[in-house]
Amino acid sequence: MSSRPWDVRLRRVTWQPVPSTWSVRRRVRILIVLGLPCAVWYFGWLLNPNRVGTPILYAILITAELFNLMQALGFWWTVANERVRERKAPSRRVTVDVFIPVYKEPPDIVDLTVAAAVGLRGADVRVHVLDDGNDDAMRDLAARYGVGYIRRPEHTGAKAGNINHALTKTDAPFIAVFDSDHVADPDFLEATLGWMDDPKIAFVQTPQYYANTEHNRIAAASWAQQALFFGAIARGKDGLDAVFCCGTNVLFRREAFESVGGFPTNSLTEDFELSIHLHEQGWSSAYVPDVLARGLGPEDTAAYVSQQQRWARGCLSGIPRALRARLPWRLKAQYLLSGLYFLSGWTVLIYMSFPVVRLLGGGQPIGHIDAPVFLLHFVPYYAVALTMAAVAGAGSYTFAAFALSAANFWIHILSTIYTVLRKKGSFVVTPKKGAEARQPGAVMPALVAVGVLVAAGVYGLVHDPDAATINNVSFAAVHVSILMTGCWAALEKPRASASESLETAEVVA
Amino acid sequence: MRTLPEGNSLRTALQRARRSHEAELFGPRGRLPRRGEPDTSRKTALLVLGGLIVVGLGLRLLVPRGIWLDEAISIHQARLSLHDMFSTLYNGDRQPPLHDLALWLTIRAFGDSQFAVRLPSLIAGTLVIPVLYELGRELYDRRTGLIAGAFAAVSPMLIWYSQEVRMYEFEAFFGLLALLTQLRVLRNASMGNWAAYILATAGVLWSHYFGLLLIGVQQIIFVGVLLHRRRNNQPVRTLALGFAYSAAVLVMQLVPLLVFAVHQYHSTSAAAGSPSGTYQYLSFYSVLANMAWSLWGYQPNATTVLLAAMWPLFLLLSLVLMGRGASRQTKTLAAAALALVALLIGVSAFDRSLFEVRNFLILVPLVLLLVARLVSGWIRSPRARLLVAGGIALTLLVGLADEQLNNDNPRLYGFRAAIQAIKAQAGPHSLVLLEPADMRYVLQYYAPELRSQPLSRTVTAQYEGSPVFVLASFQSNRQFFNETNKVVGQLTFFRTLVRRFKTPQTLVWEFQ
Repeated sequence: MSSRPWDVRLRRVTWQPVPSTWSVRRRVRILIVLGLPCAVWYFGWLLNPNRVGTPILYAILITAELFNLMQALGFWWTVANERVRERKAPSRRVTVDVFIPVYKEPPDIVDLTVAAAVGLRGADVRVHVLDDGNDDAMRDLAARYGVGYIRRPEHTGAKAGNINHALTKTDAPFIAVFDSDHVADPDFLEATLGWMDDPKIAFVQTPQYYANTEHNRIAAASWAQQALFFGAIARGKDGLDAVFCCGTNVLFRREAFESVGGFPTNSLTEDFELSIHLHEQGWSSAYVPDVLARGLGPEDTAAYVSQQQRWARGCLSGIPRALRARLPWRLKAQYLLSGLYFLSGWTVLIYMSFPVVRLLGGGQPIGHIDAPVFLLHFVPYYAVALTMAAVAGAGSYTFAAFALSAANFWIHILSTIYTVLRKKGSFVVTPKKGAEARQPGAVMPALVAVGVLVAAGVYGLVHDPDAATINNVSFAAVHVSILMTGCWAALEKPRASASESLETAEVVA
Repeated sequence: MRTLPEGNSLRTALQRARRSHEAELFGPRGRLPRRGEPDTSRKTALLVLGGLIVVGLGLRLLVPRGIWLDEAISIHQARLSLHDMFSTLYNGDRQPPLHDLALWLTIRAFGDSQFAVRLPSLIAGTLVIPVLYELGRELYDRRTGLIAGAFAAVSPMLIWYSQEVRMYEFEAFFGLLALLTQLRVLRNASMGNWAAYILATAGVLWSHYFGLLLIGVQQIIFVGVLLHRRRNNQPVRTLALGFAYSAAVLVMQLVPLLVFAVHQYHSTSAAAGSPSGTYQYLSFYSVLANMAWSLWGYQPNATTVLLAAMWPLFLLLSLVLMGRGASRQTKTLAAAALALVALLIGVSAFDRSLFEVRNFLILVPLVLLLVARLVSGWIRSPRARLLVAGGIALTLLVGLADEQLNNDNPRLYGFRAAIQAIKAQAGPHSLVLLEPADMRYVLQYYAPELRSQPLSRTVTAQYEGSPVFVLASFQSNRQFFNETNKVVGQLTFFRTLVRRFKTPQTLVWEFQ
């Protein structure tokens, strides 16, 4: 047992991955029957040339709306194919190498991770700490638990290079990978190894659960985003045989790994690209939706931004790779949907710009209509889309999650620009402990957007306080509320780090 | 491994016990999961509630406006003999007779002063405050009940109809009572609770036909609870028997009521399109306008347009609600409110003038209760909670002041002032021409001594040389406007226009 028994990662899991009532699949399919006519009703009306207001703004609006429609339809399609995979125990005794790649993380965080890995049941487990930070404290930690310690002379290729190097030093037929903060349940292998009886399966992914959500806004909102992905979306991807590896809490087949030459080292999201390689080679993947390891989510905005930047740049740069890949169309579409999600920040910027342009005396995208007619067409589509997110997320996707994502719209924009310019990025490990000071710098682009929206609103109200202005000021107020909610954690005085919390907790037996 | 402190085990056991109660739909009161914060004490709650009732009654008694057309018609009917009143209602109105009966009795007991005729609505409107408190307390806790009661005390719309000689406040009061008694029946299906429920539903049913929509939603809730309990192997026999009995009583009432309603509909369908109808069509704007009115009361059209323009804030609200989770109570309450709106929209599709906030006044306290629950459930700090609840109440008070005092309020009719001005100038041979013709009831109430006739009827030679007044209202109605325009034009040609003045929604011309 760890030396930190009251660590938040030992708390009872508060997330129910699969709703106990009606299956999400059934609910979503009913909603799709309602949603498709609503989408046709709205877009049939919107795309009518009579709706054109200011042509350039209309074109931008249509682009944003079609992008959102594509994302919505992709989301609906994915979650409607939900597959709920049960745990499957191993049919024979095998050996598993457990990799814990570390890079300058605090040893007290890694301590429990190693302890939990040592306690894994269901296989002959050989735990290895893959230290890319040349940290002697980590060597001592490994020695204390009697586990392997691998340090390489050259630290190229970041985490991917670290794991690839470890592959050459180990030989078990299966490899489990846990990030340095992810504490595995003892039955992780008992729940996943059985699926490896199918020789086509290259890896079994499980959720990346954050345990530090109770007292930390960023971790909670970040987890709410994760919960939607590791809930309905991942189960849907499994139903379409399109689960991609997420880099931690995953069990690999060494043979599959070696067939593609290990992790690609030229990507920021090595797991995303590795999955494309594996699926191209004809390997399959699986997703067990149960929480089998608990980690720490980003505890401050800078950490969240860093993580999102890495994911955005990695996934956006993976789009050309996905386009070129020799994959069945549904797999290709799934990879593209995941990659293109990181363009959604552009739509936030577009929607924020419209009230500003209108309030400063410019045009508006849709012309010659009154609000009731617009609402008559828009509301059914919006209501179904929102209900779909609520139903698919089974209540776990929150406003805070949405706001955090919206307030960091600029990450997607910056990442797109860097990707298009082919500017090199570097792999930055997400910090595991929150900052002790406010971080307005981390949300400065959102604060600038708030300033512009407020200024435009005031200008509009002073110059022409009619109903159209009130309507646009209301839109601006909606954006300001969302942005400020997303920024709030960076602006308030930080609380004690959840990972430092020694509060009394219910301990997993 | 460390063992859990004993206090934690106890807490876990208590939480489990709570959850087992929650499994029962609408289980015993006070079982909502809490944050460990104690509820308002009973004594404090009763004191505050008493204060709220006094404030609510005081605001309802500050009646600056006079009787308007629909009220005058009701007063006219209630002044008739009981037989004639029922006959008039049967042949020429569109509402069940409970409020008229109460008004008939009130006039016999207290006369027909403005205060006396408004007494039934005033009582029902004031009682809404404690009943809403009780519903909030039964569903959630005393704190929520008090916040909801405070909102009801200052609600512009509830106050408006507490001051009107019409049946709308009866619908809200009996509707709330029906919901409260249903909740009690679901928790304890005793004879007394069933009797109270049956009486309450009878009250709402005989007050307003739309009460049937509420009762329909209640029947769905009953069926849902029965199915839920059966699925969970809980006893259903007592509840099912009571439900069957109440349904039988309901059907027994429905037979005469439907006969009454169908006859009324056929008798009055020729006169459909009441002058008070706000919208000729059902649209998102009419929905938004009615929503704004339901909270902040009737506002001038310009204000309503501005309030409706704030619809994007609903997008924000829908996003904020995402992933919040809600208790079964809140979900059921919100679903019942939405079902009512959906049913009303359905009904309004047949007669679009029906989609008006007064016809679904029961929704106002339900919305106030949901808002109160948002405040009590979401805001953890007591000070912030008080601040937000106070802020909401303040906006309601601002709406109330504007509704009552702003002459641009489209529902504010200055008949009293207009008639008093006519009365001051009119001699014994004066004639008042009325448009629409039903204005005679208002004139009859304020100045029964004045001679009058509909504007469309020709002015006979008998009035040659006598002053003629034209009293016109509802000029947004094209037919009334045209008629007024035509006759006033003719009078201007043949007579001398002495003066022209207007009071809210009312025009007066004086000709010599």
